[in-house]
Amino acid sequence: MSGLPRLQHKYAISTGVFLLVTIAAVMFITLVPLLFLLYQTFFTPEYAGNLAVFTLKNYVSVFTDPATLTVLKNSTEFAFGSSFVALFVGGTMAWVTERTRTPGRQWMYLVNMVPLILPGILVTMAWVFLLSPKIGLLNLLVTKLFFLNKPPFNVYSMGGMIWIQGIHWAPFAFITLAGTFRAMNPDLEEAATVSGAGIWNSLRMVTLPINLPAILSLFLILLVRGLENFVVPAVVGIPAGIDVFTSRIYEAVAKSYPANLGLASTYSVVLMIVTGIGLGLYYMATRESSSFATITGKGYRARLIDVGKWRYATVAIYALYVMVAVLLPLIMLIWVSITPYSMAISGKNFHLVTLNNYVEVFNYPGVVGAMFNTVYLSFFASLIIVMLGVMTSFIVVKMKLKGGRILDVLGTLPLTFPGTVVGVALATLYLRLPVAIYGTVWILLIAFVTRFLPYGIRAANSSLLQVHAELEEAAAISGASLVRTLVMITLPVVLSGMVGTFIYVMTLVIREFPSVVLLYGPQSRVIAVQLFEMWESAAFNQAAALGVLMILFLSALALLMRRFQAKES
Amino acid sequence: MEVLGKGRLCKTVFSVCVSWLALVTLTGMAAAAPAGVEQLAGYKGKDREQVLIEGAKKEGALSVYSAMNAKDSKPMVDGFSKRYPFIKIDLFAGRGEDVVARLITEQKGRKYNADTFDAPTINVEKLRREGLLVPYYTPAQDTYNKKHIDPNRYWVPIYHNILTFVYNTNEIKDPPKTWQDLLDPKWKGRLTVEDTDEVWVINFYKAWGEAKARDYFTRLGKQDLKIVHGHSVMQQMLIAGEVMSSPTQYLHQAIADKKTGAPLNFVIMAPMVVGPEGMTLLKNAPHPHAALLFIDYATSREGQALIYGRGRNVAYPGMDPYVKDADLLIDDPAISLDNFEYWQKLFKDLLIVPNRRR
Repeated sequence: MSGLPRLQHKYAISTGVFLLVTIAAVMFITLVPLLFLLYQTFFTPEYAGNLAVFTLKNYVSVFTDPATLTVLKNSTEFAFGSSFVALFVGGTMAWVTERTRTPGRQWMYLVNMVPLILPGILVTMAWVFLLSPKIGLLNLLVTKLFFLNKPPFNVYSMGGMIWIQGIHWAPFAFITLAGTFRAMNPDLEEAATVSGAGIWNSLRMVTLPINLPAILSLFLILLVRGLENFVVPAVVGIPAGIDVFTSRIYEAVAKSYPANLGLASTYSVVLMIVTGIGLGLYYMATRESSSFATITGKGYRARLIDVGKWRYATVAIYALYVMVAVLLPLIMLIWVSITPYSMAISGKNFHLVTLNNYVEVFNYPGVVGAMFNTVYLSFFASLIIVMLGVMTSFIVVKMKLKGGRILDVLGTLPLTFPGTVVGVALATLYLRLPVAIYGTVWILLIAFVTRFLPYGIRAANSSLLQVHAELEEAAAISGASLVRTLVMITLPVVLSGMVGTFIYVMTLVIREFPSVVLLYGPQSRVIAVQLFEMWESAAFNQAAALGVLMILFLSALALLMRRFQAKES
Repeated sequence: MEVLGKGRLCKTVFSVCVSWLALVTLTGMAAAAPAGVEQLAGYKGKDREQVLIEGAKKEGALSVYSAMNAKDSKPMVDGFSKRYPFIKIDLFAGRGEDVVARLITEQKGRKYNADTFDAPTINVEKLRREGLLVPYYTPAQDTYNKKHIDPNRYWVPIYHNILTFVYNTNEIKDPPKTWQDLLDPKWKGRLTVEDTDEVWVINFYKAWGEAKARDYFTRLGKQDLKIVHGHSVMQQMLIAGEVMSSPTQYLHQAIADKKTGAPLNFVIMAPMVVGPEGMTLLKNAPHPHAALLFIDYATSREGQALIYGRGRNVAYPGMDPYVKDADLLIDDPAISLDNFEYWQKLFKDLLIVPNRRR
C-alpha cells in the first residue's frame, strides 16, 4: 500500500492549507499543556516569593518510593479489570445490536446514553446503595430471595471497584464498537458462516481480528481512564484499604501547600509512558492496514444474522444489560431525586416522595444559564473534536505523511493530562497573552478540545483504517483534490461511526469539571460546576435531580438527532 | 507568504511586536496595586462608612471570590445589593482549594479581578503567605469574641465549620457524652473517620498536649474504625445508615439534614474543632471601598443573621446557641501548613493503618 497517488500540482495550495491548519491546530491544542506539564515535573513549585528551582525530586519520589509499587499494582488491577468488563459487556451488546435481528435493537443507542451522562460520583454512590453488605438493596433482595445467611456482594472490594467502573464505561465500548461493526462489510463473516464456522467461530476468527484497530483503540482509552479515575477508588476503595495512585495525585494537588503540580504531573508522565507503549502496540498490530479495510468500492448492505431461536437468548441479554447497567442505577438516582434525604426504596417511605428537589434546582442561582452554556459548548467542542480527529487521521492513515505519527501520538497524549494541570496551564498562558478570553466560553472551548481530542483521534484513526484506499484512489484519479476527496468520499463513509463518537464526546464535555473550575467566569458557568457544588454542599438529592434533568434533556436531543438522521438517509 | 513579500512581512511582525509590548506595559501599569488599599483598609475614622460609600459609588462594582456555596451566600449578597444598589456584584464560588488555585494563578498573571475572598482559614493562610492579602479593620473586630478573630487582622470569620460527633439515630441509641466515652469497648466497629481530617488530630494535640492526645488517638485507633473519603460521601452514608456514626462530621450539615427529617443527630462535644470561614481583602483589590463595605456588611448583625438563616454556625456575639457556649478549638492553619507531611503521617499511623482491611 503506497497511500494516495501523487497529487496534481494545481491542488497543492488547498492541500497545503489543509495540512497547515490541521497540524497547527493539533500542535496548538496539545503542546501548551504538554510543555507546561513537563516543565512542572522538573521544577519546584513557585510560591510565597520562593522561585522555581530545577529538581529531579519528583521523578525520584515517583520511581523509587516502594509504595509506588503497591499502588501501581492496585491501579493496574483496577484498570485492566474494568477495561475487560467494559469491553466484554459493551462489545457483546454492540455485536448483538449491529449484527443480529434482535427485537428492540433500535433503542439501544438511546438507552446507552443514559449512564454516559451521569457523573461518576452519582453512579458510584448509586452502586454503594445497591451493593453495600449493610444497606445494599440488591444484597437485601438476593439474601431474602435465596434464604442466604450472608449478603452475597461486597462493593468495598477490588471486584466492586472493577464492576462499578467497568459497567459505567460499557456504554462507551458499546457506542465505539457499534459504529465499527456497522461500517464493516459482513461478507467475510458470511463466508465464514457459509463454510460452517458457526457464530462463535466466525466471531473469533473474523469479527474480532478484523475489528482489531477499533478494539485496541478502545482498550487503550479504557485503560488510561481506569488508571486516572479517582472517584471509584475514593468512595469504595479507601474503605476497603485499597490505595491507588490517583489518591497520591489528589494529595499532591488538593492537600499540600504549595499545590504540588509537579508530582501530579510526574504521575501523568507514567501514564504517558503507558499510553506510548499502547500506541506502539497499536501501530504494530495495524501495520498491514489493508487487512482491516472492509469498506470497499463494492456496494454492500449490512445483512443481519437471523438468530432464530437464539432470539430469546439475545433478548434476555438485552434485558439483563439494560436492567443492570442502566435501570438499576437510574432507578436509584430517580429515587434519591424525589426524596428529601437518602433512604431505602420501600413502600413505607412513599409518603415522603416530593418534587421539591427539582424546584430547588431551578431556584439555584444561575442554573438556567449554565444549562444553556453547557449545551452549546458541548455541541461545538464535540464538532471540533470529531472534525480535527478525522483530519488528523486522514493525514496519518491516508496520506501517510512522513512524521504523521508524531501528530497522532501528540493528539493522543492529552488522554493522560490531569484536568487540573490543563486548567492551570491554559489559565497561565491566556492571562499573559493579550487575548481576553480568560473566564469566557472560549477558553472553556479550548480546554474541552484539549481534554477530549484523543477520543476523536483514536476513533477516527480506526474508522479510517476500515476504508479501503480504492475509494480515495478513484476520487483522485477522477481529478478530485485531496480536500475534496476527504469531504466527499472519506467523511461520508466514516460518518456513521463518528456520530457515536460525537455523542460520546458531548457527554464527556458535559461531565468535565477539574479544568473548568479554574477557567470559567461569571458568564460562563456550566452544569458540571453546579452539580459539583451541590454535591460538595451535601445537597446530594438536588444533585441527583439535576442529573435526572440532564438525562431527560439529552435523551430529547438524541431523539431529535435520530429523527434528523433518519430523514437524511 | 508570497503575497506579503519579505519586506511587508518584517514590518507586520515588527508592528505586532511593538503593539503587544505596549499593551503588556499598559495593562501592567493599570493593574498595579491601587494606591492606598492598605491605608484605606486600616481607616477607623467616624466618617468611615461615608468615605466607603462615596468611594464605592465611584467604583460601582465588586468581585467576590467565595468558598461558600452560591445558595448559602445568596441571601447575604442580595441583602447587600439592596442596601447598596449602586454596586454591581460578581460572585465566583467554588471549593476552597479550587478558588485558591485560581486566585494565585490570576494574581501571578496580573489579572486583578478579585476584591474579597472567603474560605476556610487553611486556604486563607496560603494566600497570606503568597503576599496577596492585606490586613484590614472592620467594626466586627471590636465586638466579636477575641478568640474568634485573627489577631493579625487578615480575616474575620463569616461562619464556623465545626467538626463534631454525628450519628444515625436508627443505628445509635446511646450517643456518647464526652470524647472519652468513645474509648469504651462498646464503640468498637461503630465509628467511621474521614481519611483526611488531620485538622482534628492537630488541634487535640494542641489542646490536650502531646502525651494525652497520643494516648487518646492510639486507643481510638484500636476501636475497629471504618474509613471513608470525603465529608459529602460520609454525610450520605450517615443518613442512609451505611455509616453508624462519625466523630468528625460538619455540625451545620447535620443540623440542616436533621431539619429535613433525616435520621441524624449530633452531640455538642467539648471541645470541638473549628475551621473558620475567613473573609479577606485582596491587596490588589480593584474596588477596595466596595470590598470593605461588603466585609462590614457580611460581619454585621444583619449579614450574619442571613448567613445563620441558611443553617450556618456564626460567630456574631450571642447569635448562635451552638457557638455561644461551646468549647471551641479555633484551628491555626499555620501549624498544619508548616508541617503537613508530619501530621498526615501521624494521622495515618494512629487512625488509618491499624484499621486497614487488606
